[in-house]
Amino acid sequence: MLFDPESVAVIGATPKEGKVGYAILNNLKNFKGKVYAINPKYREVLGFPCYPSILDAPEVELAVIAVPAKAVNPVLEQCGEKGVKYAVVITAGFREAGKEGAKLEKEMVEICRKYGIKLVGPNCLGIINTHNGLNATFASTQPKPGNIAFLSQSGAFIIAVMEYFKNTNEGFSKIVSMGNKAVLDEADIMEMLKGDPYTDVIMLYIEGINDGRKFMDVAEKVGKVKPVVAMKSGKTDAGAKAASSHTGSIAGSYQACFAAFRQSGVIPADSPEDLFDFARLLSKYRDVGGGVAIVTNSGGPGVMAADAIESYGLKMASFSKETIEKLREMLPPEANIYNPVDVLGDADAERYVKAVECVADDENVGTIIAITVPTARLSFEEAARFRINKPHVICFMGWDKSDFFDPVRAVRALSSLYQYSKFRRRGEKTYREFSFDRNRVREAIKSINPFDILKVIGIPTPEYGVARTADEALEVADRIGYPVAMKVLGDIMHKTDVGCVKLNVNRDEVKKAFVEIIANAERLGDVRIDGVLIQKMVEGGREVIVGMKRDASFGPLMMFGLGGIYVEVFRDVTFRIAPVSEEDAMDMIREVKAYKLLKGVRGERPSDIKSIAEVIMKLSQLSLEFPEIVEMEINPLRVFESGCSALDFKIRLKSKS
Amino acid sequence: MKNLLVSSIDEYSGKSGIIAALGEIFREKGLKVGYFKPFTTFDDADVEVMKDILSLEEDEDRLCPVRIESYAEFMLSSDPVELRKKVIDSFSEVADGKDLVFVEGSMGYFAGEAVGLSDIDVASMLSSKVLMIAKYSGDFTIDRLLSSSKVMGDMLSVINQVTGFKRTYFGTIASRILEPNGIKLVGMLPKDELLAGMCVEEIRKALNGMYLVEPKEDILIESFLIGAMSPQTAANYFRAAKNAAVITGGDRADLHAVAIDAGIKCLILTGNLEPPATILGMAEKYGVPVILVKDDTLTAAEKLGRAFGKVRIRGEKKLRRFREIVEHYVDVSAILKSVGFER
Repeated sequence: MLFDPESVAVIGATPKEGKVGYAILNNLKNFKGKVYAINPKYREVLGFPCYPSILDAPEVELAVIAVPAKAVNPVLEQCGEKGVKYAVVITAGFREAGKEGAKLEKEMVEICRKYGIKLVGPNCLGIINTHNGLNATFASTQPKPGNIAFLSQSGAFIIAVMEYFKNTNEGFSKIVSMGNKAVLDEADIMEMLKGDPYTDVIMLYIEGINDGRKFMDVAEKVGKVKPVVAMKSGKTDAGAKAASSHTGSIAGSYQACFAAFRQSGVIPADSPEDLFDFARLLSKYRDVGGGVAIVTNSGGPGVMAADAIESYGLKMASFSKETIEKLREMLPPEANIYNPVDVLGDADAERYVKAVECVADDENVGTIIAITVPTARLSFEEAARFRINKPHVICFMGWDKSDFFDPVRAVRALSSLYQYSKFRRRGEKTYREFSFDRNRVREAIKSINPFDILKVIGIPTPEYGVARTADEALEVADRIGYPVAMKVLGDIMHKTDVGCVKLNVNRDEVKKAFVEIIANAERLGDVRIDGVLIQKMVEGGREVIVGMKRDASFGPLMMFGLGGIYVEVFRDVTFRIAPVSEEDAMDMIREVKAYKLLKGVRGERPSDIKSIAEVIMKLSQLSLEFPEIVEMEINPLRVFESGCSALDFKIRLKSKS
Repeated sequence: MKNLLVSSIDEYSGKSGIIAALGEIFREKGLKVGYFKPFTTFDDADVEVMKDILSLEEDEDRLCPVRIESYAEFMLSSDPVELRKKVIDSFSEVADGKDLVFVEGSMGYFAGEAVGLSDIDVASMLSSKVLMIAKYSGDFTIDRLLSSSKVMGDMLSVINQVTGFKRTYFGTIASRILEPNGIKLVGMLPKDELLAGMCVEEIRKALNGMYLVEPKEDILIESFLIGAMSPQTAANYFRAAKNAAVITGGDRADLHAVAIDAGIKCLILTGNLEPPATILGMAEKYGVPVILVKDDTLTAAEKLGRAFGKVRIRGEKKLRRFREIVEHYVDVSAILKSVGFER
């Protein structure tokens, strides 16, 4: 096992203090298995037996390699011959260092494939298992044992976090510095930790995810067993640019990553502080139900917490009649016996503790935020002596042992608990499978008119036809019936802005409109113009948008939102990674603000939401079955009381090369 | 022996490509095919290339008797009678033992007028059938074609680079306007990105750049994109592009990473700014050539744009593709018939 090897060899071990090979060996002094040093110059290093090469050493399960970059692959090859199953390559100078390094890394991957070596790194700090003393890093800190596993794409961040956790007296189960992820990535390590009895929470710091699909699959499986909390950097353009320079990470969109996290149950953290808060809380508690109760000795912080509860989407608990009666009896008449419970500033610790315990007994209460400020009558130490078995956070403002100072931060941490609980309780998803005629879809994709695709997969569109001359235009429009909409077909962007769309065209205007559209298109210069699409005009209904963009790491990212010309202004959109289940599709529709419009405002009839969900699922399936589609968008999709109709459809294809 | 003068309205219209494709097709039909280019400039490599493609034995100065350096000087110093004799003599040598000789016109059917060697002169000198190539550059191309037939007489014609709805119109225009004026339209060739492509080395030369990562194979670049937007937006453009190069600042590591991941075939980094080593590592891993240039992005894009406008049909990939297009869109048997090979 990577984390429980019987024997570890440090290749490049040296007695010279200050060298990486020294620091690693030194950190392995407490390891409960066998440790060998490998270096042709010595017979013994730091009291460990030393061999000229790994081939001369006894059996080795894990090799930690810290030799210069050029020497790594020959050494790794020897490890393969020796039958070593796991390797950690500390050495830098690979893909991150330029083209020579990239060649070396490619070779490294091939050697690993040849011998089946599972390799962490290269260019990493190393790995730690606190429960058997395996510290195969060159860090100067020894972390305490705990139940949080931490995987990070930045080695320096690991050192910083270990230092920080040392001060808060908390510990880790495993720590892995991912490095360049040449062989093993976060998903592989998470899979190893799924059944690890020492790990209750997995905490991730990620700059880039290479195989998004694999990450999602593993995260979801692991997440059902133990929570996964992740911070992904590169949210902004500036961040993405920095991440690309740092690790060569590809700027897959943050929206895609965020959607993937949500779908696979990963709790997203915005900052290191959130990451630690969430991980700590989730390392103590798993399941919550019911609302949040606040018990405080001061009004102000109680209000702050109540505000935060609503804005993080949590619910304030409403107490049962019994609880209210009990509180009324035990508290002074001026005290607030409803949530948030205010025991008043003159309360002593006993009154406070009783109130907390009483509230915790209520079956409607799922979690408790205990807030106090110091007064002459209340000591923090005593006030903290309540005995309850429900998840709670202590927010004793100014106490050095308090979980939090800030009630808002306390609520945000609690919200991670609710998120995880919701994910754990989430039922099986329903994936609908539509039977597309693949050959006809393929033909439609090749045709000049993208609407043919919608027709084949059964997404309703207004009746249409294509004209290549003004005479043809009249024929087509006569067949469809007036008035018609006319728009150019070809590789032209923002058709409306360049005068290539005409709406409400009647019979006597058709030929003129054709010529105008074509002339406006030709004025753009070197563009491809295939003809003019003529559609029946459609009245009424609400406009929404359904789209897909293929993300670099996660694949098709489905989008839904308020449609029409206001899309850019309101950005009222939501995302999911395909395949989108029926539940996901309905959630997408409910998540946007425009949902209220779709439900009907002031006596309007509601729109056919199920028909939108079907369009989302059909495009989701289409984008999975036809990877040549890079991007597509129905905007607007007009939704009626019954049914819907795609008025415009754009598609961008990857050409075969 | 028959001959077909392949002339054109403008430079870079696709004459050589059409001769190469037709030449191959006719050879496979059992005809002995020759090639002759009476008049051209010193830096024209067509003759050398065609000699190779059509496996011709004659010397280059027989295949092309008149090559000029300074045209102004040549107009004053040359003797039209001698030139005419030289052309006729060379032609009869080249034509000896051939069934059909392709005579390639010069920079446009009028070029060489001052010295009596324009395509109009050559056609009457050699009693050639004429195939006029017109590269579509707007609807007025039809007028230019009509004008050329006024001076050259009846002709066959191929219109090059017509795509989309215009093909339908031109079909009708051919029968209503061209044919009554003695022009028989034997083909309309669509635009083709592969044919418009440049190889990476041609790009490097055109931009006077240096390789940071060298190309591993002969990659044909069909288009180029400028990377100046956010990486998320860029990713979609990059992924939709076919065999494209991306021109962007050397300091835009985010775009470099996205471009490489999106399957871009060549990175052109401007401003003489070298990218982070991580990027070169990625490029090496995925086999994407990286060219560093001194120009800023706009200048580099302009230079490359000009270079793309003068692309020739060279190299096996392009020749094969052009032949496919000619076979599909040109009425080859009509051409054969018009030069007198009934089939």
